[in-house]
Amino acid sequence: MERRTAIRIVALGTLASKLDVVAAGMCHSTGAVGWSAGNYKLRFFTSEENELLDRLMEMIIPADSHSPGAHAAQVSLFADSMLAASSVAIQKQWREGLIQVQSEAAKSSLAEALAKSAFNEGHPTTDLQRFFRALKLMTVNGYYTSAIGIHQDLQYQGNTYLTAFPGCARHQIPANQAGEQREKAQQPRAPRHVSDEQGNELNKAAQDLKT
Amino acid sequence: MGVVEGDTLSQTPTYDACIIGSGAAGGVVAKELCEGGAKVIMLEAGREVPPGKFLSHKWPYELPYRGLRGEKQAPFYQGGVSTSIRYEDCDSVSVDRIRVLGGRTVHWNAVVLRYAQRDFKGWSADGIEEDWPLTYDELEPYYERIEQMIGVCGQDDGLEIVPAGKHYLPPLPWRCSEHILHRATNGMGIPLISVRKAVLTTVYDSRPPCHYCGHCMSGCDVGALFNSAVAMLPKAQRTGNFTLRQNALAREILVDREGLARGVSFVDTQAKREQEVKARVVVVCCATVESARLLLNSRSPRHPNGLANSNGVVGRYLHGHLGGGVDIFLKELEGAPPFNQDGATDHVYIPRYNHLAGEKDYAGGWGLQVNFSSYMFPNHASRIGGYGVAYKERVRKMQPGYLMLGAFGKTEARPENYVTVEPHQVDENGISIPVVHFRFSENDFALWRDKNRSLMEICSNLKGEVFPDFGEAPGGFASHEVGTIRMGKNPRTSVLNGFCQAREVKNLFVTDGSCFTSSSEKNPTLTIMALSLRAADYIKEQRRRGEL
Repeated sequence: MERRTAIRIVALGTLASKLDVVAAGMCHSTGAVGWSAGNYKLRFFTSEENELLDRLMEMIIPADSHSPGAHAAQVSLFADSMLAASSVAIQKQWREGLIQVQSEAAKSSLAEALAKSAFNEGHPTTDLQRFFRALKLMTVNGYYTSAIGIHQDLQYQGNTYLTAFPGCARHQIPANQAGEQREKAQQPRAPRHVSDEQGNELNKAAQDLKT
Repeated sequence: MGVVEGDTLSQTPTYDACIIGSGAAGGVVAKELCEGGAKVIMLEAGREVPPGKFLSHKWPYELPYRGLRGEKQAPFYQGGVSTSIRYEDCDSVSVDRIRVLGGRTVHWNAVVLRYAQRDFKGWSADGIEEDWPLTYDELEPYYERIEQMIGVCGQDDGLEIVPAGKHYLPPLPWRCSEHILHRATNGMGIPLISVRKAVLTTVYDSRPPCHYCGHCMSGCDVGALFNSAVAMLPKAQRTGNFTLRQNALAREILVDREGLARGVSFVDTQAKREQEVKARVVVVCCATVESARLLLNSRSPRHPNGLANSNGVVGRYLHGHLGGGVDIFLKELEGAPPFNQDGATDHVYIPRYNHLAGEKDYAGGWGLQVNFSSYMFPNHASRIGGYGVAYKERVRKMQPGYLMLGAFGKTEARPENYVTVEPHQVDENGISIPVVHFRFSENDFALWRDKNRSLMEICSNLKGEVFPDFGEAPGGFASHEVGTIRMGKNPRTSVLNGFCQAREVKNLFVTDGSCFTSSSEKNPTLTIMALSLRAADYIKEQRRRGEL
């Protein structure tokens, strides 16, 4: 099973290599339908587990002045859909992980339990620490593939039809911190449609960057 | 795309040629032979997915698992093809067995590079493997023709290691991160060039230009990315000489009493019916693993070890690219306002450069493809520590600085690495499945280590956070597997001559990646297509002379 998993990761190339832990639970999605939280019914977690998960995920990616967080993006429901289609071993890891966090929280608080689990994140040595890695990855994958994560937080500008690709324009590289602040104030955007004249200007600006 | 299913076979008893597989190789041969007046039937194991139905532009939240489980590409891997294979005694490699009309050209990155003079001379130039039975100069006119046929953007940079054509479409504009990378590599004496891709940057061949959505690897919904099903097969069809059978999985190449090919037996995977097609010439274009599987499954009294395999070479010399790159988040772009960086995935390329610094203790090199990953998802988010508001802000600020370097390195063509068939394990159509055996060589490991060292050296000349993705050992093949039915000068160590023609079966040709004698660090598809074009010319000439 482990070898096959490794092979599948290689097969999907770059994308999969960026999403390595998710790949551990890969399966074919034949027959599945588009993901929607609207009328979502839990398929794996109990409502109590989902509530706990929702709180933990919101602590990992919280709402702030810039954008809503994991709770608003309903990342715990995404996790439920992923876990419902994962192996029994991974499902067990999650169920036991939540129990462990809850047990730690009972001794202090949920915030402290999460902090304890996140300790040593780069080199986890305990089941609780390993669970944090899985929890964080799931939160990242769920949040940054949600409409909130893509459009409101990252303000991703792509996945569209351009008539020309503008390339690099000088204003997109802040020369220094001051430049960065100035650009933030102006909030420029890459043009969606570029005329020949504009394109020439952009190309000239790009040429200036070459050394 | 307008290609229709074929007539009842009994109405057309013998075709001039049967082409098995509709991808980069099969598309070229079909177009050329049909335009040359031959009656051609093509067998494709998969079926068409019209570009209008590609899922490329779907947002992740519109997909069942947010696209994280390969949902966008799943329609191209039909009929359980992904699972009907075994890997035994294997390093971390994977082969790509697609099953759809158009083959691997349906979703690919479309980097098309000519092999250099030295890439055809493994033995003469590097003292390993063997020289090919043809030279760059012999293949050069076919490179030129195929580039014009498919439409390639780029430019001539005057580098011997990546020979250039004469008819490129305008190159892709560079992103900011690519200008910054160029600044660093320039200082190190490492050339960086505009990438050459089979992506249209202007209207060409009645196809629209790229709209810069960055979804090449999920398939191009408008046909700006070269796709055999969109840009090649309709030309074959327009001749009136072309018959296409989809859902037709080749089981065996049939031979006559003299051991020559007389046709192909196949399974209609929808009707679950066995059928045969008769042909004067059989051209195998199923890709490296499936082509070897087909020949090995084609046993007869004249060919007891499989077709054209009296020397036992069919299936051997499997190899492909090794990978492993780095992600860098450039300080210079940190905190920049969000802007659309998708483009056409790669826009620049770093050709092989390790030979510029003198002799190495290994043979071969690597090239670096730049930024062929999506900009939609923050790849660093799970790799930087922490959580909470500060973490979230850090993810956001780092994202505009994303720069990705993906290496493709040469691996050695060795007889010890092979594909065989498993007589006791069959797929859902009762055909023996392929079994892959592959181990990286000492040369591969040495190259891989030096490649990793060099990548980190480049990164040390860039200001930013670096996330190496090397793993603990090489992995492959990045869909670039080749070599299992190789051409060569030596009949004991090869199956085909320089025209992709089987020595033992003169009316059998193999023009996909399995025909490679060896491989370089360059992506193989352009060479596959140039070899296919050359083979098609040869078949036409031999037919004219009455030799086939």
